[in-house]
Amino acid sequence: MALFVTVVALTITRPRGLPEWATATVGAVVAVALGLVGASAAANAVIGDANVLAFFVGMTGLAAVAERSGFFEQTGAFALRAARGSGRRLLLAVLGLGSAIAAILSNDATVLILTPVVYSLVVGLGVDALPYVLACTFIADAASLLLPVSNPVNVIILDGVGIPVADYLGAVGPAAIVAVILTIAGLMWLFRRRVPKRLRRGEPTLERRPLPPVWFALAIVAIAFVGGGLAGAPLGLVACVGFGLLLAVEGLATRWAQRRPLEGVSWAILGYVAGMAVLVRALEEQGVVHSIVGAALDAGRHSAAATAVISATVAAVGSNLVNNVPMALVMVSAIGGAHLTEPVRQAATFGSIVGADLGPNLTTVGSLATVLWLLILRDRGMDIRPGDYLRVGLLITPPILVAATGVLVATLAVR
Amino acid sequence: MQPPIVVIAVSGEESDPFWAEVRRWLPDDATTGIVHVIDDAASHQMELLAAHLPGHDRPQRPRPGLREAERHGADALVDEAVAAFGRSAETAIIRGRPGHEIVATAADRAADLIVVGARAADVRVAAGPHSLGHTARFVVDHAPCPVLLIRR
Repeated sequence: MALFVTVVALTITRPRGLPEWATATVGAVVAVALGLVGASAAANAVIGDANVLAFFVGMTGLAAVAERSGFFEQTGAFALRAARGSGRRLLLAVLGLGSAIAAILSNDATVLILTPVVYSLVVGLGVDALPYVLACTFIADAASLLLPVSNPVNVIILDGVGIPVADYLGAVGPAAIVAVILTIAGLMWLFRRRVPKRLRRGEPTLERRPLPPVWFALAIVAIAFVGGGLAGAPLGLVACVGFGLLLAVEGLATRWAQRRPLEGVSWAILGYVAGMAVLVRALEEQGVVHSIVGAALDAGRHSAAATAVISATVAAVGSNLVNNVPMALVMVSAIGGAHLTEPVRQAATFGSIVGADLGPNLTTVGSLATVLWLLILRDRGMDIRPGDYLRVGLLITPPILVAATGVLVATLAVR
Repeated sequence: MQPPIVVIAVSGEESDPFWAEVRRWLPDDATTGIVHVIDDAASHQMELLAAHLPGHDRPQRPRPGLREAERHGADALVDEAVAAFGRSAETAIIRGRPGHEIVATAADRAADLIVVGARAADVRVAAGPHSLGHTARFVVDHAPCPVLLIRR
């Protein structure tokens, strides 16, 4: 337990820029060395997550190729045209665009790639960019409920618990749509005075050479994500094959001019996820998971509705304490360890996904601990302002989390 | 008496009636500076998010376009403001917190007056606290000299 807390604390605070993957990997090795987890159990934890690891590689690769092909810039320019000179319509267009990109290319791509593109677009018009940047980040997490591929956390949980994608769409779909609509409505209302009524005319400057064949391939990958998932193909495999396809199309379109095709793949995340998986397995073997999260699950085990609410709450709070990747692993372990009937097990799974996807929006930086750290930095005289993110997150997230959980409970009840 | 030194803070949302009011109240011989502050809260937010998404050790990729886009938008906005003002004015573009930077500029230049925009009359707001945006409110609170509020 102490080891897990130390590792999580180090991955969040990152003293001296210590990379997360190194902390997590060293933590895992220490756990094995201390005998907290057997070597074979640790190996199983990593192999069992192979699909998740492949998904991370494929997805970050896909997003990188899409970025190189000018996809994000073109869609941003499209949003600007669709706004026809109105600041509010531009905000709406950014929210719609963010939902679509988060659904297909995951919330991480939306935050890391789309947000800077939108930023340069908006400041190029001389407009206060904060509403647009916050819109991108909030819609990224809300829309990450839409499809199993929209958030790596969804893959971690579905894969770990072993629930088919078809069940996911039927159960979480309505809650996801409600979360997206409420987020859009909430942000439009919150920023109704802050966005300008009229936008200056301006053509965005595009830095990247557009590669339409790659966009076409991207559309095929999007279809494959839904189709392949429904057919029961491992999503990690679909993501990697899709990445391969995009690389091939990019290569043909640019005559193999791309010198470093794998640039942008986040290899570091593999060490982080694998290390965390081993650490969570160690917690499980020490009985820690059961005594905390498992006990909460047991409390509601006779009612699917109660279980969905409990697991959404636990996952949301946990995601704010330790980030949502480790929290998702903990939820998987708790659900696996509890003796639950099938409807209750599904309720626990989907509840965990809702909580782990939407919960981090509370602070938008993923964890309360991060915010505390920011406050400490500010005390030391660094110019850091958590105000805006906290204010918006605290206003918007709790009602949306409650509404989405309510819709999930209703959906599960009528199924 | 010396002609007054005036700092006009612009956000880009100023209308023609705003500038007509400015010309009505400012003496012709006033030494005028038009200041625009690029609010860096949004870029701060992005850097934090990128640094704290779980598991991403991706180094902050330099995006040369960002600063240029900021500059480009601010230049266009300030040029428009000078044209709409219709008199000669110095200009300045600063990055930072708008309220703080406006007040600091006025103090540096020993300004006699700051002009800031209040919310446009056609943005429907109840009379009272919401008719001032947070930047204008900060300036009113902290200004080292008189402040002239004009509806945008």
